[in-house]
Amino acid sequence: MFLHLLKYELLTGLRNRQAMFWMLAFPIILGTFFNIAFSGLYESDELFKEIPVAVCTEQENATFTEVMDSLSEGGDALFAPEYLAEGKAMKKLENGDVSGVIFVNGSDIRLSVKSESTAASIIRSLLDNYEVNVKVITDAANADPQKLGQVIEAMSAEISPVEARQMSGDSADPYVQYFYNLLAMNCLFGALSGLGLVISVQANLSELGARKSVSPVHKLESVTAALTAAVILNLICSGVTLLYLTLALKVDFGAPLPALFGVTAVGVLVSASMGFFIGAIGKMSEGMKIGILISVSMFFCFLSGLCVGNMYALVERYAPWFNRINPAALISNSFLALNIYGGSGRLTANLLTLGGYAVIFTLGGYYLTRRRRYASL
Amino acid sequence: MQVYKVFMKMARKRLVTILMYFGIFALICFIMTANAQQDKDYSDKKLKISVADMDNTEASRSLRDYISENHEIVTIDGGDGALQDAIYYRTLNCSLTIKAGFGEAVAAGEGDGLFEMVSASGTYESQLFEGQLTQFVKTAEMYSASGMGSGEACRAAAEAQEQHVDVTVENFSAGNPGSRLSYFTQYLAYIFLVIMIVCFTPILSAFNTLDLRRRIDCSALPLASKNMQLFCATGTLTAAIWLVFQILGVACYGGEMFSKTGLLAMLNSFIFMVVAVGITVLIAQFGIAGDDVCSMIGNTVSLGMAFLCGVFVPQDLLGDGVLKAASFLPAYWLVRANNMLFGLSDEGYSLGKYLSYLGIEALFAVVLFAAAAVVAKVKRQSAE
Repeated sequence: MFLHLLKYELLTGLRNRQAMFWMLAFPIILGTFFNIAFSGLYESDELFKEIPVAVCTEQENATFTEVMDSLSEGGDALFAPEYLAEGKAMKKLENGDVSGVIFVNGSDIRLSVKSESTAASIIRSLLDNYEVNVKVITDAANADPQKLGQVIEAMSAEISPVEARQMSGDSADPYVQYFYNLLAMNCLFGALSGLGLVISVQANLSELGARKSVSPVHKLESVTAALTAAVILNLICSGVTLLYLTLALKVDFGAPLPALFGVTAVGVLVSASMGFFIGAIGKMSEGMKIGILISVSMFFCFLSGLCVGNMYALVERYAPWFNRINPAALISNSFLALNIYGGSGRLTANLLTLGGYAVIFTLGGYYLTRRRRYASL
Repeated sequence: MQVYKVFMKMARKRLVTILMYFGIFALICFIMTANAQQDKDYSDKKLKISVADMDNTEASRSLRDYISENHEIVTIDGGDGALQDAIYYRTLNCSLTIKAGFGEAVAAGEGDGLFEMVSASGTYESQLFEGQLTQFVKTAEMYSASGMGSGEACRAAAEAQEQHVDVTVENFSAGNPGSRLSYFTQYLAYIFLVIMIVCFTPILSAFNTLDLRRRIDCSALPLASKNMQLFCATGTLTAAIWLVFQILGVACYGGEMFSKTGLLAMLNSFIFMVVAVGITVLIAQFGIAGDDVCSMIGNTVSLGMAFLCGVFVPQDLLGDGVLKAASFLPAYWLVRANNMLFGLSDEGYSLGKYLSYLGIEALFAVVLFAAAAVVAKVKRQSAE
């Protein structure tokens, strides 16, 4: 009987057009849009590439030319300079072909940029170095001319004072977190199927529920079949989304697929049980319950960073406790933990909290739906 | 005026949805305004840096002072995990550890391996900070070579870093470049589309349902009057919504809304609002009545257009193929005109070009209304 019920609960769930759109079609569509917008953004916007600059020379400065040449040679060149007349250089600046125009008039050096940016700061910093070196040599010459040789030697020395310690993650692309949150939203929207299926077994909320209530099937069995169907449907939808993102859109989550599936499965358990619990509360209409569920889910997703990239960090700064209880944040942070720590105590804590939610919601749902009798409907 | 009144009654039922979208948009606007930067002279990029000083000498303290003057020093509690999270979410650009023995190394002219740095490697920010540190150490060692002690050399190095070349920020746009108003007018493309489709498609569709249409058609009300009332009702609500958002703009950005740039941006948003009405009217002709279906279509169309056309992500960062496809969508032209107006793109401002982009948007509106009329006629004929 359980399998028979499960089969029909699955069919009912599959025919719930609204739930299937939000659980399957919408995440895929949104994922595609995210991919169009964010793919390549990290490489093009954040990763350093040699900075194109235009140089307008009014009066030659041999030292500057030498420095500029040395900074634009080799594989780790900082600049890609073009020596142009002022008019052409400014046109290139206006068109965004160069990040800055350097005007050289003997020892007088000026910079024109289109806007404040990190690239502009790098150009300025490098030009400042030239000015700083001139000042130090002048100071040294004034203080003790005999030590000028040592000062120039120190200036010419190649040094590398910074040792970089790498983050352990596979993907440092901050835009991937939008996809983490998309998967979290996908999991939470799965609560819609849990809610719909539970409503369909409650006699006071649906005609189907009334029909089921007069059948000789034990309530526990029909409710369990509904909950199991919700979990299976949600798992399939989230799994399809995950496969679409990783295999079709080639999103680099920085973690192996089975591990991602594992986190998704835990998220699905939470959302299905959450839908089950909300569906079992009170006598509100299905529309009202769907409204509450979507609002609550979107509120959680918003605060975990679905719409604003660094929202998680912002919440972490002002109300870190909320990130420890927000299911969307727990799911997306679990994906992040897989990426940058390769799994850790954080991941375990997140999954245990999510598991705790699943247990509480499931027990609460069973408690609310048990032993219901209706004198009249 | 029965049709007009019924339209308004139906619209009133959707007031909560409209207010919800308005509220979310207003919240975002206020957050953006709170973070707005005033127009000012050029200033260098300030990074968020955490510093751990293991040396704690006069030399290292001078370096720390230099960093705090040029960047924002932040403290991250919670160990390596919190540090990595902060770097991932860019609430921290670099974490610097000044190793023990820094002062002695500067005095000895040893310039390698003085710091340990954690950052999102290979980014512009890490490149900038690493360059500044290298120059600081080099300058300190030059002073040290001239006979100063390490502490004095680092202090002198910090002072020497105040030597700057003159920087001019060129303005190629019509208004204040980088103004927050530009984001406001750009995001209107998304919010207008979603509100119009989600809230007004069900109403217009209701008037297109066969039974209701036949009931009105067999009444004494002439068809022209019915259509005129529908037109007036749609126009009234559209103008009201557009106006409310402009008032929000005035509340957030004040007089900037009435500057030449602000007025041109308002004109752009108004024309796009007409386009949004055109899209809504066209969708409504297909007899889509359910709120749930309208919500699905509204969210998909608005988010799709917003992401493809560069509302949420700058057009400069979208691929050529995406932009070519997007040029067949009206929001692309709103964003392109807006970017040109506020100097957010590589396109220099010219009034003629700006008006031509608005003209393209208006053409989209004409095509959409024409398509809606054709669909309506075909459906009516097939129903008869």
